[in-house]
Amino acid sequence: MRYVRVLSLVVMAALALPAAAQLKTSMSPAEVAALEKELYEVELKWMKAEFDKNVDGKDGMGELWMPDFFDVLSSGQVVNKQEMMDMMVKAPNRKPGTGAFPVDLKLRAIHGNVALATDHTTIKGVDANGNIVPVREMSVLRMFVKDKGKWRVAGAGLVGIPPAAPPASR
Amino acid sequence: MRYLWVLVLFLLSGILLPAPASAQQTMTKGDKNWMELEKVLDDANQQWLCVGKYHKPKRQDCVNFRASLWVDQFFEIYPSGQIATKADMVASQTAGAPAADKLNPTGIPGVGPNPQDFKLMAVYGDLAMGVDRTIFKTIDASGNLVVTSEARVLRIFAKENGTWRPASAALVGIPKQ
Repeated sequence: MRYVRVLSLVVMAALALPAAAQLKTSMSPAEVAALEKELYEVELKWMKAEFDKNVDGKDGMGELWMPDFFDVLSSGQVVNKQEMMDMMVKAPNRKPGTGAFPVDLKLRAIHGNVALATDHTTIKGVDANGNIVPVREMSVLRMFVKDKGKWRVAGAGLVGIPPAAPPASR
Repeated sequence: MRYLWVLVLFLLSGILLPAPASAQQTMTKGDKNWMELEKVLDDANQQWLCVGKYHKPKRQDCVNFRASLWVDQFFEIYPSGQIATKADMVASQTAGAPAADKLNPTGIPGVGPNPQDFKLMAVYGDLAMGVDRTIFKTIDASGNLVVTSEARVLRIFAKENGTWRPASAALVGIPKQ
């Protein structure tokens, strides 16, 4: 009889495993909100690392970005981790208050240890009078990977929003 | 009773064996497995966009086909920056299907998106990320295929039940070449 109980437990475990795997895509609203907050904090560190040209330090690009990180820039250019870091380091020093400012991060999908999110990012620069002004608006697909228990950045696709863009049609 | 233990071991092996198969296939950028996956995803991309051998003369057939491929959480960022879910896209493409068929009544291949140069960029477990250059074409008044726009596209695929399916895309408009 004891063996029958053991067998029952094994069968129950076998049935329970796929159900546990499915939970990842059926998060409660509170869990989604908590994860969005966590990913947004990672995103703010990401933006700060770029602004500060922090390559090797704590929360720097080297640490935050996965080795296979890549970006599809709003120009359409595709850059890998090293190319993007070089680009950031070589860029002229920016005035505080300029740079990339993401808002409205929305979690769109979870696939295993990967989270896909979108946000609205405003690029701010300086006009001829030295005033800080928005220079570009973008919708961004941001990709995060949970690596050894910590969310890191896998990359992004930056889609520039044309001024007064007409509704999309495909 | 000995046979019962054999049965238990058999069941345990059934639980444990699929795990390595569903885990990330060992690969490094550019190796044989990587190149093979790139080919598989390139084909999945052709299916997604109903091109090549997956061409559907009737637009609605393509909409239905790609809707069956897209994962439930599918979403896309259009070149305008607009974000659409799977439901949004099925609805808008279904609404546009009659006009698309009117423009291309004989179902000439090549009208619509034409992906090129698919490149696998990263793989994390059952999620793969790639990029391509997609050329959008239409038919002009003379009946010729003409390029309307081009985009660099970030394409994401998820492996579900052993099949790679489109999970997301972000289309970045680029100048026509």
